[in-house]
Amino acid sequence: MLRRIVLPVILAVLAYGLWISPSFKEIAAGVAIFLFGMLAMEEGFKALTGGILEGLLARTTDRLWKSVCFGLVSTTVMQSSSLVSVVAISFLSAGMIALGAGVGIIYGANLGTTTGAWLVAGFGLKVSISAYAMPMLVFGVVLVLQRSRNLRGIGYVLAGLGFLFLGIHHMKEGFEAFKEHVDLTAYALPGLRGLVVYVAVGIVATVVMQSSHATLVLTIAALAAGQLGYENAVAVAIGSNVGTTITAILGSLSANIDGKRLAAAHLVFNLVTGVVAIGLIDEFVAAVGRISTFLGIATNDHALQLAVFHTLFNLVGIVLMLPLTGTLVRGLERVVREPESERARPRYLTAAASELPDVTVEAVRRETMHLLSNAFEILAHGIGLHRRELRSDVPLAQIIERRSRPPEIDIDERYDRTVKPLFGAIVDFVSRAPFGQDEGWAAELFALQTSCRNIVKAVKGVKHLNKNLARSMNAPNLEVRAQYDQIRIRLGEVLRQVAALDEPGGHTVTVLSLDDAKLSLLRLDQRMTSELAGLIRSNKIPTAAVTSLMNDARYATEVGLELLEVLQVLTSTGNRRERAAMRDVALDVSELRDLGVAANRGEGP
Amino acid sequence: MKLKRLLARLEEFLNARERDRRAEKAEIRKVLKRLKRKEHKLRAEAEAESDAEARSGLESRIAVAHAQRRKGLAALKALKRKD
Repeated sequence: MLRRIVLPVILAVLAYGLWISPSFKEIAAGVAIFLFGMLAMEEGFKALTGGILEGLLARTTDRLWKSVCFGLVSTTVMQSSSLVSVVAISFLSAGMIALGAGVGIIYGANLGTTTGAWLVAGFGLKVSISAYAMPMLVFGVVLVLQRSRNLRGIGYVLAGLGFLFLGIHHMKEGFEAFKEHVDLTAYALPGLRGLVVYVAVGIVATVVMQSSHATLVLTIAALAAGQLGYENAVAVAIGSNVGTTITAILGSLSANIDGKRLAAAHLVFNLVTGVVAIGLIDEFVAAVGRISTFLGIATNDHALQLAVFHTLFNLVGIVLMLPLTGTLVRGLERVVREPESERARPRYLTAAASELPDVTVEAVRRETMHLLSNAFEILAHGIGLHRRELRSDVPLAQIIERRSRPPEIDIDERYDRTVKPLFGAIVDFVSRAPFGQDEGWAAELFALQTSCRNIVKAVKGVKHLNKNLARSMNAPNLEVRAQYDQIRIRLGEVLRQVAALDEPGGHTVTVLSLDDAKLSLLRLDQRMTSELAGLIRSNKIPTAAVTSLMNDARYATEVGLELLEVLQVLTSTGNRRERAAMRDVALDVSELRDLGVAANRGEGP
Repeated sequence: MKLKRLLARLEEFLNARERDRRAEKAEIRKVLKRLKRKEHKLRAEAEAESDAEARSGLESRIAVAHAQRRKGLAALKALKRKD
C-alpha cells in the first residue's frame, strides 16, 4: 500500500518543484542525467565483460596496492574522485571486480582527489570535466550504433561518462545561485566550535554542490583572499571529504548489493579519516607546518598548506585503513545485506534435516516444490496469464481470447529476489549432504537438483519468450497472433499441471503418464513447424515473424518439457526403490523425439 | 582376527548391494506388469474408438507405454547382467 503511495507523491513533489523553480529543474535534471549515465556505463561494462576491459582490470586490481594505484591515477587524470567511485561501483555491479578491489580504488581515489587542491593552489588550474561531456556523447552514441559488441560496450561507457559529466555540470549550474549564499568569510569561528561547525559546512556544501573539488576551490579562494582562517579552512576540507561520499551513495542507488557495499565502504573510510583528522587536528597542523618548511612552502601560503593538509590526512587514512580492509569487507558483507524476502528463504533445509538420508531427500523435495511455487508466478505472468486464471476451470483458449491486460512483471528482478537465492541454498545444502556418495540417495538428490536446474532453465526460457508474447497479443497479423496464442495455450496447459501440485489431491496423473504429455508437446511443436511452412508458402505471414515464431516455439517446447520433467520427479511417490524404478522406465526427451519421428513415419509398436 | 572381521564386513557390504539390486529388479518388474496392463487396456480402447482424433491420441499413449516397457526390460536385463 505504502509503495503505491510513495511514487505518486515523489512525482507530484518533483512536478511542483520543476514548475516553481528553474534552478531546482536544473538540479533535478542533473541528477536524472547522472543516474542515466550510471545505467549506461553499467550496460557498457557488461558488454565489455570477457573482453579487453576485464583483462585490464584483472591485471590492475589483483592486489590491494594495485587497486589503490588504479584509483589514484584515474582520479588524478579525471580530477573527480566522485566519478572514479561511481565507476568503481559500476565495475562492481557488473561483477568485474571484487569488493576488496573496489575498496582499494576508493582509497586511491581519495588520495588522487587531493591533487586537485595542489593544482588549484599551486597553479590555479582546474580541469573542467564538463568540457568533455559533448564529445564523449557524440563518439559514444556513434559507437553504440556499431555491430561489434566491444565497440558497443565502449560506446555505452563513453556515452555514460558523457552523461555523468553532463549531469554533474547541470547540478553545479543549478547550485550557482545557492553557491552565492554559502559565504564562508562571514562566519569565522575559533576553537573546537569552529572546527565542528566548519566540518559541517564542508559536508553540507559538498553534498549540495556534488563536488568536494568545488568546495575546496571555494575554500582556497577564501583563504587566498584572507577571508577565511586557516583552521576553519582545514575543517572545511575535512567536511568536504566526508560530503563527497554522497555522489557514490547516489550512484549506488541504481547499483546492486555490492555497489551499495562499496558506497558504504566509501562512507566508512571517509568518516574514519575525518574523525581521526578532527581528533588529531593539532598534530596534523604541526606536521603540515614541518612538511611545508621541508618543501619550501612559505609560512603565509595557506592555500598550499591546505593542499599539504588534504594530502596528509587522506594518506594517514589509507595507512590506517589498509590493514583493516579485509575486516571492513567482511563486516560490510555481513551488515549490508540483500533484503531477503520471506519467500526466498529456505523453509525445510535445516541442520536436523541433513542427519538422515530419507529426511534429507524429503526436505530437498519440499524445498524444490517451494522453488517451483516461487517460479510459478514468473512463469505464469511471463506468458501473460494470471495465476487465478491458471487455477480456474475456464478453458485457456477462452481466457486468451479475452485479450485482457497481461500482469506486469520484471522477470530479472523477481528471479533475483525469489528464485536465485533459494536455488543457491538448495545446491549448497545438497552439496553438503553427508551421504551424497551413497549411490541410491545420491541418485535421488541428483534428480531433485536437476529438477531445480530445470525450474531455473524454464524461468530463463520464459524470459526469452516474454517480450515477443507480450507484443504478439495485439499483433496486426492475425496468423502471427494465432500462432502465439497456441504457444501460450500450450504452456498454460503445462502450468495448470504445475498448479495442481499445490492442491491437496490435485495431482491425479502418474509419473509415467507425464511422458504422454511430453510427447504431445513434441508433436505440437512438429505440427507448428509444418503449419508455419504452409503460412510462408501462402504468403500469409512475413518471414521475419516466422523466424521469431520458430525460436519462440522451440523455447516454449523446452520450457514445457523441463517443467514436465520437474513434475515427474516431484510427483514420484513410494519408497526410494519405487522411485528409482520409475526413473529407469520413464523416457527421456531424445527417446520421445524418436517416438515422435517413428509415429510420423507410420511405424507403430 | 582383524582380517576375518574385515572379510565379514566386505561380504555384508556386497550382500547389501545384491539385496538392493534384487529389490530394484522386483520394483521394475512391478512397474512393467502395470505398464503391460495399461498397454492392453489402451489397445482395447483404441480398437473400440470410432473417432479418428481420439484414436490417434490413444495410439500415441500406447506407443509411449510400449517404449517405457522396452526401456524397463532393458534396465532389467542390465541389472541381471550385473549379478
